[in-house]
Amino acid sequence: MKASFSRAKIVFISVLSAIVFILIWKLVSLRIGTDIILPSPETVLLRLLKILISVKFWFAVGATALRILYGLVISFIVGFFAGFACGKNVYANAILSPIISITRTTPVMSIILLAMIWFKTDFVPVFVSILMIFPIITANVSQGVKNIDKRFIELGQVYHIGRFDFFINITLPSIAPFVFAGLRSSIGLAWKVVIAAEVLSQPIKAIGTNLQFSQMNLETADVIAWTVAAVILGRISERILDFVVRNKRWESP
Amino acid sequence: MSDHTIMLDNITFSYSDRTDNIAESSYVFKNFNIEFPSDKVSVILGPSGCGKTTLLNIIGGLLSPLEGKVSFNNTTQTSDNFSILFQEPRLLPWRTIRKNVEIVLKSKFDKQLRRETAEHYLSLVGLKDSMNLYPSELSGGMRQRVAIARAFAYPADTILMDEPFQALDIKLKQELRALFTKLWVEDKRTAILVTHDINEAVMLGDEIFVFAGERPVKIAGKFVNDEPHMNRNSESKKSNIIQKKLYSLLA
Ligand SMILES: Nc1ncnc2c1ncn2[C@@H]1O[C@H](COP(=O)(O)OP(=O)(O)O)[C@@H](O)[C@H]1O
Ligand SMILES: [Mg+2]
Repeated sequence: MKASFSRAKIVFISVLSAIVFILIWKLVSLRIGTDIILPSPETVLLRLLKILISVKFWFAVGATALRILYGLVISFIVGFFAGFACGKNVYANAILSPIISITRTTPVMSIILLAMIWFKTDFVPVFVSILMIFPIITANVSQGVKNIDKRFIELGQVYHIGRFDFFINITLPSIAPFVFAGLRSSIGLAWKVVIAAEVLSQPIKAIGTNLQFSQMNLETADVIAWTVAAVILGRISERILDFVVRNKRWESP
Repeated sequence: MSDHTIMLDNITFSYSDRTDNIAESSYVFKNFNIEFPSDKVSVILGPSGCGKTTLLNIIGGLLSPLEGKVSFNNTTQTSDNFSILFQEPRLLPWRTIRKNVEIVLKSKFDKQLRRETAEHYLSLVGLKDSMNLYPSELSGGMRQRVAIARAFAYPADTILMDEPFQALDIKLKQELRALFTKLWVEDKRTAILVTHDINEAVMLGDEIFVFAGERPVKIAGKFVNDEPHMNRNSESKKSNIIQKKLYSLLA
C-alpha cells in the first residue's frame, strides 16, 4: 500500500510541475505580448489541433516516422553484427573502435551537411540517424557479448552444447537486455537527429521541413505546435518499444 | 560392465602464469596422485580454498594441468563425458525447467527422446507439475532439484559435484541428499562429491579423501564406508566412528 501511495504522490508532483511550467509560459507570454516571439499556450494548443486534422501533418508524420524506422532497423542490423564482432574479437574491436569514436564526436551538423552533398534529400535524414545510432547499438551489443555469464560458458562446455544452440539459448538472451537498452536510448535520439536533418535537407514530406517552413513565415505558434507533436510522437514510439519488450525474462540467474 | 575408474597421475597445477621457478606454495597441486573407484561415490573433504573446485575442474577438462594426466580406465567412452552439479543450480533464467534439462541432451538424443528423458528425470525429482515454469518461479531447493535431474538425465559415466547442497538449509540438505542417493542407487555412476560437511561425507561417500589445508595439496587421510547407501544413518555406530576420525583430522 505504501508503495502505491508514494507512486501516486510522484505522479501528482510530476503533473503539478507540468502545470507550473505551463503557467509560467502563460505569464511570460502575457508579459511579452506578441505571438511572434512567444505565443500563449492556448494559441499553441489551437494550432496543434488545427495541424492534427490536416492531411499534410499525417503525410509528414508518416514520412518522418518511416525514416526513423529505416534508420533504426539498419542501425540495428549493422550495430548487431559490428557489436558481436567487437565483443568476440579484439582485432575487430581494434578496427571498429576508431570509426565509432570518430562518429561519436563528429558534430551532427557536419554529418548532415556532408550527407546533403552525397545523397538525395529523402535519404539524408536516414543516413544521419544511422551514423548516430549504430555506434550506440554496437557498443551495447559488444558490452552484452562480453558480459555473457562465464558460468554459462562452462555449462555449455561441460554439456557439449553446440555453437548454434549456445547462440540461441545463451548468447541471444544474454545480450537482449543490452540490445534493447541501446534501442531504447536510440529512439529519442533518432527523432531529434532525423528532424534536424530534415530541417536542412528539406524533403517534401517531413516534420522538419514543416518546422523550417513555419519558422520562415514567423509562425512561432506553428513551430511550437510541430515541436509538441514531435515530442509526443517520440514518447509514443518509446512506449511502443517498452510494450514490445515488457515481461521478458532477462533477469540474471 | 565397463570400468569407469578415474586416475590422476602426477598432476601439477598452478594458477600462476609463470611456469619456471615459482614458489612451491603457488602450486595448488604438485605431482599429485589420486584414484577414484568406478561406480562409487568418492568424497573430497577439505577446508575451503584448499583446491577442491580446482581438482574437479581439472578432471572435468575446464582447466588443464601443467603436468601429468587424467586417465579414464575405459576404452569405449571419450574422457570428456561428465555431468556436473555446480555449487549453484546454474539454470538458464530465460528457459523453462523442461527446456533447461532438454538443452543439455541436444548433443545426445533426438527430440522425442530428449523430451521423454527430461520428463522422466523431472518426475523422479518430484517436479512433474513444474516443468513449464521458469527458474525464478521455483524455490532454491526446487532449482537445485532441477540441476540434479539435469545431471542425471545427461548420459555420462561420471558425475562431478561441487558442494551442491551447501547453500541450502539443513532440512533441504537432507532431502536433497536422500534424493541424490535414490537416483544414484538406481543409476550408478562414478561420482565425485566435494564438500566440507563431515556428516554429508559420511552419509554419501563410499570413499572419503581428506585434503589438508596446505599448498600444494596433500591427502591427509582416506576412509572407506562400505555400508550400503540405503541403510545409512548418521546415528549408527559405524558412521560415528568415521565422523570422529574425520573431525580429529580436520580440527
Ligand atoms: N581463477 C583463479 N585464479 C587464481 N587463483 C584461484 C582461482 N580460482 C581459485 N584460485 C585459488 O586457488 C586455491 C584453490 O581454490 P579452489 O579450488 O576454489 O578451493 P576450494 O574449492 O577448495 O574452496 C584458492 O587459494 C584460490 O584462491
Ligand atoms: Mg570450491
